[in-house]
Amino acid sequence: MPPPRRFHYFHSAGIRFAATYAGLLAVSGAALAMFLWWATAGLLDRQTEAAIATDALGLSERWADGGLRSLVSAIGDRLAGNVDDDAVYLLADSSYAQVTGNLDRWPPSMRQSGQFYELQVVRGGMRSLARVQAYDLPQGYHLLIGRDVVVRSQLRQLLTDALLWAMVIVCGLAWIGAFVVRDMFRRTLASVSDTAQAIAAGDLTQRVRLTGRGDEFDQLAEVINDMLDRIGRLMEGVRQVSNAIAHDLRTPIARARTRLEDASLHAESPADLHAAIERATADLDGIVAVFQALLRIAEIEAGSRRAAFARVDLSPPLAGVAELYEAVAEARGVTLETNLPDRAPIFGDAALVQQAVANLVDNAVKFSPDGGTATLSVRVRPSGIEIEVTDRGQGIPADERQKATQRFYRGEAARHTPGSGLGLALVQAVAQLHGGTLRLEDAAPGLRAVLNLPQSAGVVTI
Amino acid sequence: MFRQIHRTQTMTILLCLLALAGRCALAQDQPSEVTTDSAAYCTKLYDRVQQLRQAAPAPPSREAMDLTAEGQHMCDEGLARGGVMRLRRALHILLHADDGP
Repeated sequence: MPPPRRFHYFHSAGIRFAATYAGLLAVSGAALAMFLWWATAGLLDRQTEAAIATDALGLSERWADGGLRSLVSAIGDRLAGNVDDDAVYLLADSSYAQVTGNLDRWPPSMRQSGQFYELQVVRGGMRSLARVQAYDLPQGYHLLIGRDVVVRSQLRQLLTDALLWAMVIVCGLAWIGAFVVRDMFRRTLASVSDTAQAIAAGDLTQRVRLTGRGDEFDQLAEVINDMLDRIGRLMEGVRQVSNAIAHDLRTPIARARTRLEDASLHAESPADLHAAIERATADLDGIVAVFQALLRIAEIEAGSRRAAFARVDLSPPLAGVAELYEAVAEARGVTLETNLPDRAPIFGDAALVQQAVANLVDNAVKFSPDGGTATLSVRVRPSGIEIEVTDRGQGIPADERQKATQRFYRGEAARHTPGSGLGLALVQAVAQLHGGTLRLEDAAPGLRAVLNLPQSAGVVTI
Repeated sequence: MFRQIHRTQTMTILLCLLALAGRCALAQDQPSEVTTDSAAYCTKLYDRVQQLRQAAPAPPSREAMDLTAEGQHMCDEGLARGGVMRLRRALHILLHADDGP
């Protein structure tokens, strides 16, 4: 078991999730604030710059029409008509000395033409702020045009403060929301984690709790619970098979041991000893046969035999089965009737199908009463081959038929007949390997086993 | 005090960055005086209004006369900025008297 990892904040998915949430919220808030600033305070700036540009265009036309005198007159007119009391003009000569305008002097740092400046001014003894733009005119003259923006500046300041505070609030909410998201994440994962820990500790009955909201977490919990259910069923199956193996093999092993022990203690002659060894060997051969059957079923279920599939005719192998079991049936006083077609083509493994049918016929002969009749009939249909084996014995009760194909399952009627309980399990495995089905039905009386094999086996996952 | 200065500088930097970088500059000069808020300009503007009134073919409106009187009175009382604003409004009315309502 690896040593427990030290908790680190950057290794916490919950914290990463929460940080992502907080980051996205903060970025969204910042983007919104930037847009609001651009749409309000930025708009005021753009309006001021547009007014200055328009003013500059008008004055340049006056300069072009009448030169310096016309420009001086125009500036005087504009100052006189400036009802809003926000205009700033300064016309200066080449040495930046005032020619006309309402500024007492040219600011020394504002001599670059076309550049916008924020200019501190004094109006009636009160400090104010103007936004101005400098222009170079012909003959060395310079013009400064501007607007008093102190009110706009104050409004812009208010907007900026409000947006900055809004950003602080958004960051605070993002921080709180991040904790909420982290806790939600942890609570959801805690349920999965608790369940996994309980299962790791051996309690397979634990399941992930559902919130009932039907959201993605509930869907995940349902998938995990389904997975756990399937694991539980598989483990139960393994447990049953293990128990069955232990139970079914204990008796012949114990019998073989007893015989050998008895022979070693009580055998009076080498012949008695040899006979006891032979009987024990027969018991052990039976055990080996059970293991071979189990391995064969496992091999079939693994699907490795599918690589050997080919287009085959089942008539000859099935005729061989009939011929073999006719003699066996006759020895038991049972009549085996067969109805086989001339050709029964399928795509599959003829040897496996032959063994499966042999198992069915063996069961039918074994469970048929003395003087009874067992039948083996094969029908060729467009969809595939239907192999039907019927006996007139006690049959299998309806509630046991589902279990009859499980490994080592033996019904009440089969308790006292020889067998390992693996025959129908092998037939079922062969049917599934070929993409077919095994159906057990009541033959009233007796049992009818119907093995359907398609013409071409599909891909089947067992 | 320091906090106020620091805050102002921060805000200025932020505004400069946002208002199209490079197009904004804050002057570090001594503040310039706006001369149109002075009593001298008030007198100059009053003379201009009077010239316009005399040159007008029709008598000025009552509002223009009242604004002129108020402006002159405020300028005499040392309230140059308020007086200039009223004289400008009076001038505006006189200049646009022919425009009609």
